[in-house]
Amino acid sequence: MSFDPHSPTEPIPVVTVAIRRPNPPIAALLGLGLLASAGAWLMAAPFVLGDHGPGGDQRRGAAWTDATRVDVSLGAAVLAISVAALLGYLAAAITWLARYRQAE
Amino acid sequence: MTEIAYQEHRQRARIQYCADCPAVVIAEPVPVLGPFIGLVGAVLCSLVGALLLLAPFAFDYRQGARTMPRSSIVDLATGGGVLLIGLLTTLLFGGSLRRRLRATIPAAAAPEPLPEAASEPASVPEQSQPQPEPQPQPVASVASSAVGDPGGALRDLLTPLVAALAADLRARDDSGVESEGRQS
Repeated sequence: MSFDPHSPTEPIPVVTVAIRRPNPPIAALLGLGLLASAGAWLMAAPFVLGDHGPGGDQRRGAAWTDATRVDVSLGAAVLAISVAALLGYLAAAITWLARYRQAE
Repeated sequence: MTEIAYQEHRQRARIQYCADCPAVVIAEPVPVLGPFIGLVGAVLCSLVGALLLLAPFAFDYRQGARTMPRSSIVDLATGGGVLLIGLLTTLLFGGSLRRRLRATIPAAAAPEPLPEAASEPASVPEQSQPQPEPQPQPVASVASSAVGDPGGALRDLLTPLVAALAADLRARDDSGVESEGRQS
């Protein structure tokens, strides 16, 4: 009998030790929700408040001003980023729970 | 999860795999992906808020008018709010991420103080009387190892490694003996 270091051996069982599940950052998630609300407000603001005042305010039925373009684009960016972050956090949490907390 | 629940889970998992064979015990990974995603999102929102603060001046919303248009006021107010909330959210997600990265399994927690150490000052006055020298205890090494590793996680981790090493050495010895027998 010769020793073969590459011969298949019986696998050693691996036991996963459960850790204490960390508390979710509720305040931070609320902050993301507030950011999403601010983004939605920023998209709607030129059309809600736009019929007043001089200068770059948006007139009803007129072409979009520079301020309106900036507000709508940046509001959409804030809304998309915050909603994507919320969904990403949710997906990561669900994935971790499905992977390690099936017995509970 | 409390210490008792941790012990029960470990015992249940060991029985499920193998009742008496050693097992490699590893800790579950800490969920850090969610706070990391939130942290990145909050930082990006903060940058957008800073851009909103700059936009009325960069794009010249006033266009020579005497008063500031309402769109500039809306941009400045909303940009300041987004920047403030974004920075606060960044700090909160960063704190959560830091706490999770520093978290350890319950078995690695600080060991409990020895009951002998707690009763040591009370036994000092009794030393005036002659007492027989205590006999060495054969289980002293086991007790001292249990003090530093109350959950037995280190022992569970090292046992299969030592067993594998012993099996490896034994197999090498057997192969060496056989080859010597063939040569002779």
